[in-house]
Amino acid sequence: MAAREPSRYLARALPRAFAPSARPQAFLGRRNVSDEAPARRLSDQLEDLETSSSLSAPVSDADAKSFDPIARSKARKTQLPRSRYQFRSPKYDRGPLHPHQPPVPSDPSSRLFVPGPFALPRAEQTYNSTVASDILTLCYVHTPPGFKAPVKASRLREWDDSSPYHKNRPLRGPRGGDVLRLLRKPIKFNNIPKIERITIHSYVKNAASDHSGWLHVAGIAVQAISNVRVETFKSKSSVATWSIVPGRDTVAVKAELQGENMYHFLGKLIDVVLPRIKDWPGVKGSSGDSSGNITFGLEPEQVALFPEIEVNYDMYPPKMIPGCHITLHTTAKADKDARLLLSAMGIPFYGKIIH
Amino acid sequence: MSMHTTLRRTAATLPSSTSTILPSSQIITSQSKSTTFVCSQCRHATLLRRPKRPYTFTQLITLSDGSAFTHRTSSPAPVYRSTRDTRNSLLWNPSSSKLMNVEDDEAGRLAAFRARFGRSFDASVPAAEADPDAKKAAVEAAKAQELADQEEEDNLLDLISSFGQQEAPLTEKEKGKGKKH
Amino acid sequence: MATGTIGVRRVAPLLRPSRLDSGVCRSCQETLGRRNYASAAATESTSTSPAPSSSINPAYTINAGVVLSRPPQITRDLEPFEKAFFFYQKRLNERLALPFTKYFYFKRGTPLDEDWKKKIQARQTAARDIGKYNAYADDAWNDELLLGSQESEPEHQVEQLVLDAESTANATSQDTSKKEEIPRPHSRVTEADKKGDQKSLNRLLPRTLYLLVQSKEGYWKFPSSPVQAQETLREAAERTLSQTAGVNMNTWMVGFHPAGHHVHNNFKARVDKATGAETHGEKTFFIKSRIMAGQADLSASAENLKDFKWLSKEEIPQYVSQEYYSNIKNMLADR
Repeated sequence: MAAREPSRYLARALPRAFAPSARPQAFLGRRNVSDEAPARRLSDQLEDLETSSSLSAPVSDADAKSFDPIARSKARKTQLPRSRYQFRSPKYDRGPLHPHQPPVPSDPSSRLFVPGPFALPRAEQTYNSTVASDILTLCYVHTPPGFKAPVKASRLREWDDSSPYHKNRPLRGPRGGDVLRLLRKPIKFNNIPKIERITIHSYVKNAASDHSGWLHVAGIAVQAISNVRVETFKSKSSVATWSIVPGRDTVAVKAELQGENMYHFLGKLIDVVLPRIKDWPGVKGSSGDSSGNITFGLEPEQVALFPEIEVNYDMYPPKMIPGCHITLHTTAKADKDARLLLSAMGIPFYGKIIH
Repeated sequence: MSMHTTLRRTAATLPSSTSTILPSSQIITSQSKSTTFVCSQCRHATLLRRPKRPYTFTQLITLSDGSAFTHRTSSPAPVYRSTRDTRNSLLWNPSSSKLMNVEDDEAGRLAAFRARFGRSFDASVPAAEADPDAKKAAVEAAKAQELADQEEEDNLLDLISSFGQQEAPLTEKEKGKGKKH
Repeated sequence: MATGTIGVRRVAPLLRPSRLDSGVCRSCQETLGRRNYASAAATESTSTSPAPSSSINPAYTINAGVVLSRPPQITRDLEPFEKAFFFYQKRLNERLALPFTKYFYFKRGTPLDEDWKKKIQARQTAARDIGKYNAYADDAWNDELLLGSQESEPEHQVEQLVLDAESTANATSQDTSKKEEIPRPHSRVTEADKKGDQKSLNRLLPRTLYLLVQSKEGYWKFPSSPVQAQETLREAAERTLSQTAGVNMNTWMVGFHPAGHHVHNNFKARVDKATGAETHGEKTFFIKSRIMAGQADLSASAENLKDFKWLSKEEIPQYVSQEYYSNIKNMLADR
């Protein structure tokens, strides 16, 4: 088969080569930008586009009023077969070589299609219009012309070659622990920290010892406040006092919010829920995993303050509303930047701020 | 192992012409003994699960200062009116004097007390706020001083402010109070 | 020790190669000087003495400017395409999301439940903002809006939500005599917009507004004034703001670094009679600032100013010169 292919391409290409062409034939082997065919240029392709948008194109009122899609379809003598107007995606993905391929997930006919966004969230607009540019101005570091940053030593240590076995060994990690922290680059226009995703996680200790109802209630509550289906997780560690065995007991629920859901949740959390918590001092200044993700916890009484839970508070069994941990993942590489971003978005911090 | 792992092969159906692209003749001989399919790596069909998402409504949230915005929520209530939010909570408005627990000083007693005994205890009050207080105190101190003798109210502030001046009526009043309770 | 470092700083410019002196400011020179001790010491013998007079008598006046802005107060107006897109996605979602679990929110037989049933019969869907559309009916394919329909307008959707809340409150309340009124959201267009009052901070709520002042000569600019000796740019900017626009404002300076700069060249070099120094023009460095509360007030201003206005980015080019605008436009937010 491999031997056949070139001949097929050659057969296709030959008539093209012999066809009369406006372009000089001398430079056939070379392609330059300057002698690009005029039909290939972007500006020429744009000429095919309509200049006016279809939204603004004039339509006569009579046409608009008389148009009734339902009546038109009813008036047809023979109805179209369903397959003519509704494509159904295959239920299974049978691999890239199968002739019947499912459409890409962004196609509305795909089974994996998730519609959205449905609105332009307020928190996102605030970030784009105000917060991002302020952070860029605040974090600007001036490097004078001619400035050369001092060369830093490599973070991984080399072996001292005291032993012949050191040859070709991978480098050692830094002193005092093998963890390589994230490198914080100077903040420029293209790496302004922003909120990446929000995780709501709830560990239900009674789920193992009591009954699974705890887990169901926690899942429903977290789904209600986040608009996202939750995932459940089994315990990884053993807790003897709660009789939790690793790998056996499903003890936690988690919801991951991204995009529009995330911004709606953040806006609701900041504007409605957090101010209603009594004597809430703010998020602790020392929270964070030192790579730009800030976590704080909400008690069960505080979770009950969400408007989604308040609206049918009676439907949740008493005392079974879970507490949860909310992690705000940002693209910042250091907690300092993440805190700057979050406090600009309206989350207060208290206590000693640890960077 | 072999380069053609995705191919399904049976020894019996292999035509002699295609055997040249097989990696080695050894495999063929070993396969020719068994009649089963040899499939070292296969691609099963994966079910494309529809993502499950809860039903969401559009909800109008009205904050305490009248500003309103819509968001997507799982709650079926069309409008949510909040009474306590960032617009009227102290944590988000640290400089707002309206939300601070400023003591009521309608009768001017506190001002009278300050005018008489100095104001070292509220030295921590920021200067901008203290200035109007001082003016108010100066105006009301005169009034309050006249009124202080006549008014007989069970007010702790009153007791404190009139402590130094009139010892005799104070003790009487306290005794009377003790009897009442 | 301390005197030693100061001495080194003073000596450093003398030791440095002279090519740095031309285009680099004093603080930057110090930064570079600190890094280059070793190399400076090595080139000491070869370095020529620079002209210190150039740094003492700057050919340009250095100004500190303030770009005082009021951030957008409300969300922006959606484009027609965005409205249509969001609406269409909502109707798609009606088909693809899990159905609404009614009995989790409304108990059977309660007035709320009865009310809900009645409304569902009328609009055929749980959502209130997508019009009458049943995603599970035979004609669910008919999900596109017809020309001239209002359903995709945000105002219409909010009105539907409020109407729904009102009718629910009226249907479920005990006394039928009183009608429940739910306040509508405030208008997005304010009084100041209608009157065209460009001094008000309540105009153009979805846009960023910038404070521009008019000098006695009649040209418009951002508030600015020369930086005085022993004063950082930030301090100068704060002083400028309080001197020009009064202290009756709650403002926040964004950082210590300028966000942009503008160079103005005079036709002829001006000579100061007292000192005999020449100035070729002025360089203004703008520091970004946000106003939280208050209003500008020129009555107590020390500068020679006539008027002020709060303008959005599109309005600014009508007032300032083309050269000035080309220098400042990249500082200004699009929205």
